[in-house]
Amino acid sequence: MFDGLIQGLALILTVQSIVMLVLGVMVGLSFGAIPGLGGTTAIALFIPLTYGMNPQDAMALAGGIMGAVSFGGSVTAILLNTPGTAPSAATCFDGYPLAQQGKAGMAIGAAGMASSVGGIFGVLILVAVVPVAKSLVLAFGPAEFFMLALVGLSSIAASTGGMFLRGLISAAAGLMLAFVGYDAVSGGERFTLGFDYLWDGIPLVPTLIGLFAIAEMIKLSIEGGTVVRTKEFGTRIVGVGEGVMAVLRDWPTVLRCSALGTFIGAVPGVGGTVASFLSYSMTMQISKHPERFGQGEIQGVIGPEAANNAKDGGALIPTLAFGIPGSAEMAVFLGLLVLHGLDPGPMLLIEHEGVMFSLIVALTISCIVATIVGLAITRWLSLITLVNVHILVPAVVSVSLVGAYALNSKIEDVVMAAVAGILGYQMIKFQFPRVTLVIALVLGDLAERSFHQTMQIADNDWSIFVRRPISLILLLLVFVAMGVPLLRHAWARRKAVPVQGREA
Amino acid sequence: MIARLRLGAVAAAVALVGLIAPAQAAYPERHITFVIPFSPGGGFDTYVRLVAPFLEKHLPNKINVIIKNVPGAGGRKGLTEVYRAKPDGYTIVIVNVPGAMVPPLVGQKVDYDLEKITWLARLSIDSYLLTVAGKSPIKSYAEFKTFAASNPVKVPSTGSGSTANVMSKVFFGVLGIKGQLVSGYKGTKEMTLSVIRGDTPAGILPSESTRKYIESGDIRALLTTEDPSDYPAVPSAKSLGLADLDGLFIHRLIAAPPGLPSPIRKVLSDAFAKAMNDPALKAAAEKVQRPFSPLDGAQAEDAVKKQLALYLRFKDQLKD
Repeated sequence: MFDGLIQGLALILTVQSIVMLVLGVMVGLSFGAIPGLGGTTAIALFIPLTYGMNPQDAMALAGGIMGAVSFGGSVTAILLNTPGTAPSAATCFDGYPLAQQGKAGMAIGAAGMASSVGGIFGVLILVAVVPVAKSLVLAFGPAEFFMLALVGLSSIAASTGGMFLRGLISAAAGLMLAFVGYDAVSGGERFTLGFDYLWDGIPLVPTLIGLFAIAEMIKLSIEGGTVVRTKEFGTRIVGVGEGVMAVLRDWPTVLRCSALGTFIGAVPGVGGTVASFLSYSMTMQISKHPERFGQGEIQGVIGPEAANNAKDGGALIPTLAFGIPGSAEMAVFLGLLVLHGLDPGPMLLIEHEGVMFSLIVALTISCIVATIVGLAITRWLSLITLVNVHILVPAVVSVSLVGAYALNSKIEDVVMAAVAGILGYQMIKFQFPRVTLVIALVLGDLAERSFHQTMQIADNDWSIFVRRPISLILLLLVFVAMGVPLLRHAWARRKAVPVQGREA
Repeated sequence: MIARLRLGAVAAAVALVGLIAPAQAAYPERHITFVIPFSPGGGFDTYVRLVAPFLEKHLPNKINVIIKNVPGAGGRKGLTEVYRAKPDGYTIVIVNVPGAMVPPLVGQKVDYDLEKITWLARLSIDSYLLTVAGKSPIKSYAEFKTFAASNPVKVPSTGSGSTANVMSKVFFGVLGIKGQLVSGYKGTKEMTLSVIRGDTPAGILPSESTRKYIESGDIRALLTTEDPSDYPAVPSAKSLGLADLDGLFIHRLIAAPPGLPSPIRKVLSDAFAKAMNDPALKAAAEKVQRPFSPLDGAQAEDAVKKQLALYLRFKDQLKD
């Protein structure tokens, strides 16, 4: 493993790779800062650029993007109360009040530092898992994959963002879409409406480009104006050092939230938004001064930021070791691996150790470089959010559609992105969460396939799911994931009753 | 900032126009798309990635060979896509025989005809192995027969009509055992892993993809279809008296859409022949233990005809 690390370092320490890494950081910061765009779109758009590259340069570019996106998103969240990416939304709660108090520099400094530490924490966990990857890989058979998919699906309840029924409806639609295509078990076509295009199911990347980027642009163009509605832009950035120090002083929060972020990142289908929001509420619950949160408490920035970057290392564990994406961003990243002949899945870490370590090294360096570059160019980067939507929207829409086309040179993909964009806008308008649809779309095929395999292997004996220890643990996690929101709901109601009594 | 963005867009547009602008030269004058109808990492993928750079080297003009994985429907999706493409020499595909040959024999509808397609070359042949996990209590073919006498033998498979499916059924038939396919695995790699993990007690796996796991002790081979056996401790099917399994190979062939003009066919067929003769490719192939068994376009066409005759004999066993 140590050899692999050295090999990875050697591969990445070439002029070309470093240029790609820095380019990735720049792209990540910009895409992170633009609402609607994010790591998913950035990697999707830059996949075609990597056609002529060798795998380690492509990994340097991807690692740079992944490490930088969340910080880019947080900068606009702090400065403008506009989260550039969904996971950065939790940073708004206390980051923006800090900016309003003239402490934007402190908030950005803390966010940058917490991102770096969190990111490196996540990567360290990933590296720690690599040596046992083989036994880990062999411990996960079809029964465990089915349970993993179930864990991801059951976490949908936590991702509905308060819109419980709408979240479930979106998820159900996502599951139905996941069943489109050629069914390996029965050997028949399902719901393809006679289109060969749909043989392998609904393609993920064009769908994601539509649901997120295009939908957001439709929304912006209907609303008009600029992305930023406030006139308070131009706050001078001071107190960066103070923010950095705040992170160093508050290391328990950083470590706690990094650990939580890594773990949640590693569970397929949960994603960064849940990680940063859970970190925010955990930090608030543990704090001695919960009343300060929302008023500009620096801890409220540190917690979600650490989790937000730690999740990348975590999300790479199932992606690299099992070929199961831990998030939408990872799903697109899988496409990049495939393009470079790196077979995503169980043998990847063993067979392409050097290239994989160059990704790990790139991700680590990227977290640090992103923070440094980000702190240096923050003001200029944020100018993009002042561009009038009449200029911004056509540019982003064409880039997105070209991205959808470039992936497989199929015009059908562009149509798919456009259809998904209209669907996505309607979902925003009627407040249906898009995240749950994507989770279900990603996990539906896995759940179905591995369930069939398990049943064939076990001769339809359901007890296989509780006889295998890892499968049993995952099953218990499913119960926890489904039970906790119910318990919390009941608890909240019990607390609410006396209040009502007093009022009466 | 905005001005700079616009400048960037103009630069990108100019670069794009430069790429599409037609060059006035003989074939090939633009990129050739090389379709792999399987997911990355398997034998077909490895061979194409090995040969593609040498194909670029030995084709006239400086063009790129762009590799495109189009997995799905047991390899039929990618093949159909190429079959329907323009016969202009800019789209070629690696074909799996028997994988692509058997579905129409068993009455499945396919949108291609292997007797009409233009054959360009054969890259390799690969023998098949009867395997069990390295930790399995089954140590030999004799012990396997005893096991199979009292248990249905489950083996992993990718899906209906796939090579894995076909080969497994031929094995079941010739060995006279009761077999059961566990389908839904995505490619050889997942099937190999399933045998190592012990999802299924046995597996019918292609030799070259399995070799390194046999050498590492994760997988044990009980017999091979190649005679003489290329593994020291593994008996050949012929030596075990299973003549029907002898010479049962997977062929990796290269084809272009039907109606490819013969001058273009010659250019491609020659380039493949030169590439496979290139000492540098031979060395690279040696390193990853992926030997070539080259045939040119006309010879490949003959090989396909012979294979067709062979599988017609097994026709009844292949039906679901």
